[in-house]
Formats: sequence, structure tokens, C-alpha cells
Amino acid sequence: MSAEPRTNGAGAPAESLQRELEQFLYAEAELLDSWQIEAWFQLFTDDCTYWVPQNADTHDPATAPSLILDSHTELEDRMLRLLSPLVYTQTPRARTRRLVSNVRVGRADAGEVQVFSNFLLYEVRLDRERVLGGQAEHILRREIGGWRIRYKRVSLLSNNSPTGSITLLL
Amino acid sequence: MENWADSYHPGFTHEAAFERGRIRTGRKNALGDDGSENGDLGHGHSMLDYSRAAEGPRPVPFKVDAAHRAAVERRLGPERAARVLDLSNVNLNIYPNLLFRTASPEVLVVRPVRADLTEIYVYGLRYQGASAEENNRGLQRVANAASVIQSDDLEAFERIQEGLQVKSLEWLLFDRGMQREWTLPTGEVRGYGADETGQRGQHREWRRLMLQEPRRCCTQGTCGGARAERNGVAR
Repeated sequence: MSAEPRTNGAGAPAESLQRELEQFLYAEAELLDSWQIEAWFQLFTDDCTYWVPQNADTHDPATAPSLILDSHTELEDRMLRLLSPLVYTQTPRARTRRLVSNVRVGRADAGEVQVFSNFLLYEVRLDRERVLGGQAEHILRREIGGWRIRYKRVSLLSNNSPTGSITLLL
Repeated sequence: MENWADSYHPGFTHEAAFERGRIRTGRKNALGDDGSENGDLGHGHSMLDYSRAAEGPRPVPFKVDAAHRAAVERRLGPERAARVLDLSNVNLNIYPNLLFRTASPEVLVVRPVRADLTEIYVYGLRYQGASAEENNRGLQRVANAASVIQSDDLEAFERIQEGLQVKSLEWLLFDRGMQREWTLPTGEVRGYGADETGQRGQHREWRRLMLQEPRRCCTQGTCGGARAERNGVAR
């Protein structure tokens, strides 16, 4: 998608919008950390794209393989699968806490706003600790009842390194 | 390596992903002795072969476009091309660490780093002569650490590593289907899909290599034979 915003004061988003979007991202992270993954999935619009690029922070998802490139249906399957007791990577389940910061508002137009943020995902499972970190880009759509996620890109810093399996929703 | 030659594990290791697929498509997955055959190709190489199922060969599970088919026909002739494109549904293990499969355009290299750390590198393939569209579609199926199938396998590998620390268990048995193997005219040993014919071949080759006389080092004499002497190898 488009480049990151250059924040220089001029054209900076209204303080209230900035705060509203930050609160949305915090609430999204809390849904994942408290394993309310069905409610998390409900945040996505029917025409959503959920994308985790591979080998680079961004690339053409049509011509190079991604770690995840899910439509609404595929994301629903990914989420519902995690509720199965037969998902061995989450049996026992990982305990997580996500830290979201550096929230920057990008392009905003008819009902949609682009938001960049950084995250650290701290994970403990089977006495082992792991940290995943990176940048997220959301394109949020304003709907009745609040913001919905139309597009989410999660660029892991480790997307070009050997990692263990990644089954947590990012 | 054992996993790639195994059609026994998908039924439970990947059940959660299959369950979603069944609900979505209404199609059942063939599991266990699913008509595939497990081949020991010699020298540790092995193969899962889905082309000889009793109910007819299970087709290669992706659509080959006209351009791709024409390109392969030009090279191999129509008869062999049909066999390659329609019937060659296989998982192929080149011993010790190179894995191919026709179900998705990928090559895996298994790289042992330490006794307790193995890395798997996955390379996506583009087929010469196939349309960009087919190749791009294919790349979406390439395995990775976030895949709903591959992640189950990675978890299994870690649990196996943990299980191998158990001191009270002296032997791991790879004896499934040992009594019902047969030999093809080519010398290749075959078993049924969920048998461990290919895995036995891998371990036989490992034993052969481990029991070999150590090779002399430095035939060029660059280390003056010091390393050979240190290792107790006659010069």
C-alpha cells in the first residue's frame, strides 16, 4: 500500500481521531490477548484482506508467496481452526501480551483511514518465551457501531529468518 | 524426512485443518492407507506414490494450464506428458535432506544445525512454460511457518525431539508394514502408503553411512594429514 505518513505538524490528524484509532488498536490487541478470537474476527469487513508478507516487509502478494494472505473466508477458517482441541501448536495455548505503539495516521478519505503502528508480541508457552515484533498497517472503515478492519498488513521483523511455527493471530 | 514419506500422520496431525476443509467443501480427505504406496528407492531415497491407487490414480491436485501442458508435451511427448502431469502425484525424498512434492510447487531443504536445532528452507518453484497466472496461483500453496498444515508438523517435530530425550526407551520401531512389502522388477521395495517402507530405507542408509570406514582427509595434503592422524585414520 502507500508510503508511511510524514508527520510534520501540518495536516496532522485531529487529536481526537488519533486517540480514537489508538483505542481501537488497543482493544483489538486485548481481544487477541484474552483469546476472544471470534470477537476479533468480527472486526473484519466481509471484503477484508489479512496479509502477512514473507521475506520482505511488503511485496506484490500476487507474484510472491506470503506467510498469510487470507480473504474473509480464509481468515474465518484460520480463526475457527484455532478453536479446535486438535491444534497442537496451541495445546496448551500460548499466553500473550501485545504492546502497540507509534500509532501514526496515514491517508484518510471517504470513510476509510490508514493507520500504521508498531507492535511487540510477547509469548510464553511450555515455559518458553518468544518475542515477535514488527509493523502493522490497518485500513479501517467507519461503519455504524464503530471502526471495522478492511485491510491489515502485519510485517514481522523475522519474516526473512527461520522462526518456529506462527499460529497465533497477529 | 520421515514425515515426507508418511501418509499415516495426516489423519490426526492435520485433522483440525481438514475439518475446516470438510465443512467448507463437503469433501472428505483420503487418510491412512489411502491407496498410496510407500517406496524405498534405495540409497535412502524414498517416495510416497499416489499414482497407483486401487480406485485409480489420485490426480495431481492442481490445474495445469494449456501453455504448461503444451510445454511439457513438446519436451516429453503426449503420452509421457500425461503421465507426468496427471498421474505423477508423489512426495519424493532425496536422501538425506532434499524434498519434492507435486502437490505444490516447492522444494524443501532440511538443514540440521545442532542436535536440537533443525531449519527447513522452502523454495517456491515456477514451472517453465506455465502461464504467470498458474505460477502465481501455485506459489500461494507453498509451505511456510504460518501454514495451517506445516505448523502442525513443526509442532510434531518439536514434540518428537522432546520425546527422544527419554532414556528408558532404547528403540524406536519403524516396523509398520514390514511383513507385507513387495519388490518391483526395478528392485524398488514397495509398501502401502501408511507403511514405513521408505523410512526403513532412510535408516538403513544412515546405518550404512555411519558404519563406513572414515574417509581419509586431505587427499590433496593441504593439512599434511594432521587431521587424519588426530582422528586415528591410517594414512
